Amino acid sequence: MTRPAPNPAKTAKRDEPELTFFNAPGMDRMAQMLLVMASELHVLRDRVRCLEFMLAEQGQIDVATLDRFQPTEEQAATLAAERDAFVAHLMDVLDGRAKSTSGRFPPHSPEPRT
Amino acid sequence: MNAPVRATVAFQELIGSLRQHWANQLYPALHQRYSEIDRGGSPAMADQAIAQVAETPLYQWFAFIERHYQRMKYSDPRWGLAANFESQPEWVRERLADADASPYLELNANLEIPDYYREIDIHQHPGNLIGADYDGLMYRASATSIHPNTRRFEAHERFADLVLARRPFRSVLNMGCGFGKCTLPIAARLPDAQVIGIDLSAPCLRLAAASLADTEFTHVRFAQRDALRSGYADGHFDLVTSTQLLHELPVDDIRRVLRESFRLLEPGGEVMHLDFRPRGRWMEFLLDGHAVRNNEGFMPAFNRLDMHEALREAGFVDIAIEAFAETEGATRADWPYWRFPWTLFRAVKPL
Repeated sequence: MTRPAPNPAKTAKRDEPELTFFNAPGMDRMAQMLLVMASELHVLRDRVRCLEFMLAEQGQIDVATLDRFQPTEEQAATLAAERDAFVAHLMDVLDGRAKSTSGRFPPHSPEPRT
Repeated sequence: MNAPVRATVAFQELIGSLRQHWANQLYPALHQRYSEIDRGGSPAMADQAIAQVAETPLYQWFAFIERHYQRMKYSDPRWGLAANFESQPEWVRERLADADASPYLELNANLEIPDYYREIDIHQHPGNLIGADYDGLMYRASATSIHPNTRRFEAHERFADLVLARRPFRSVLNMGCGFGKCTLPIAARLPDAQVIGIDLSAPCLRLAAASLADTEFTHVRFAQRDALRSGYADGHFDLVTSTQLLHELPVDDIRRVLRESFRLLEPGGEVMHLDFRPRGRWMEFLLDGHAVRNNEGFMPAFNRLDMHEALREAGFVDIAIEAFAETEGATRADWPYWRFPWTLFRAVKPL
């Protein structure tokens, strides 16, 4: 299935100043990396557990079989693509592409304390 | 029809767990820290305690996580809600198909939309609630994890119970109804009334109308109209309501909504706006921060608006401003978890 072109109103970041919460410079993006890592780890663990459930139900493999797995060329390419996507997901925060923006706080509102 | 892929489900469940931990573990620890410094002293002591707490790593993590769990929920490039809905246009079409020929839905493509509604991603909802067919579906999917200590939409069910407890209203307007999360519970309790929900967002209204297909209701209408100038006749309703609408509006518009509520009510009719109201410096500080972190820029001004005076100025009498428990026990003084200070603003149009 061809994926439709992304809707810019939904995917483009507005050009606004970055919101930060920590005193140390760079800490916010470091913390975002941690959240991405946690996401990747959780989704992966969930995937592995689901796989184990399915394979066990079908009597296909046991853990020892998993340990001996050797990917084919095609499978290795799939794993590489997944690895690249993982790295991109993790590193996107560093250049500000995933930055947290202010949402244009109205100028006539009282100055809030964050 | 495609469900979200397993990875998206797992990711969104993780965000929900993060939110639960933030509200039920991190917030009590933060409040404990604040209470150790401010032992019920003066407002100046409260401000001093807030200034100290704001410099702690605990508060900075609290603020960071509040911002980013919501950002990731919507906008994570791999498993966020926007990416999920963008990739499933057929599924979205099927979900909204019942709205297309619905006799209960009135849309107005020419309705004037305020600039702030286009320009601010309220709740960090990308592009706000206009611009994509799936905006209502995405808002509803996001709303599942807002109130971690309550059942889904429990606050709206309890609000509808309060409405029913007042009297059997005959003609009800629900302003800023969104996808009908409050309109439908009210309609369920008032089967003999005419119930109308209005909102600016066509995608939300389409979802609301599509949701009617799961009910037997024939006494509900949804219309794309502005709560500031709804276009209904003077005295058309005996109850005007909203939930979580006022704090999203500029103060001048809040006053206009109250005047419009007054105009729309018959003499003796009632207004019931459910929203938030911080009590004390600590909660005001947290809501000021929340306003920035969740792109709800008008909230600080609303928090400082004298609502009793604003309702009186609009013409109302018998004004009551009451704490509202979104779940059993939530207004107890020793409630330990994060919660918004839900408050009911209730008043009567004089006979």
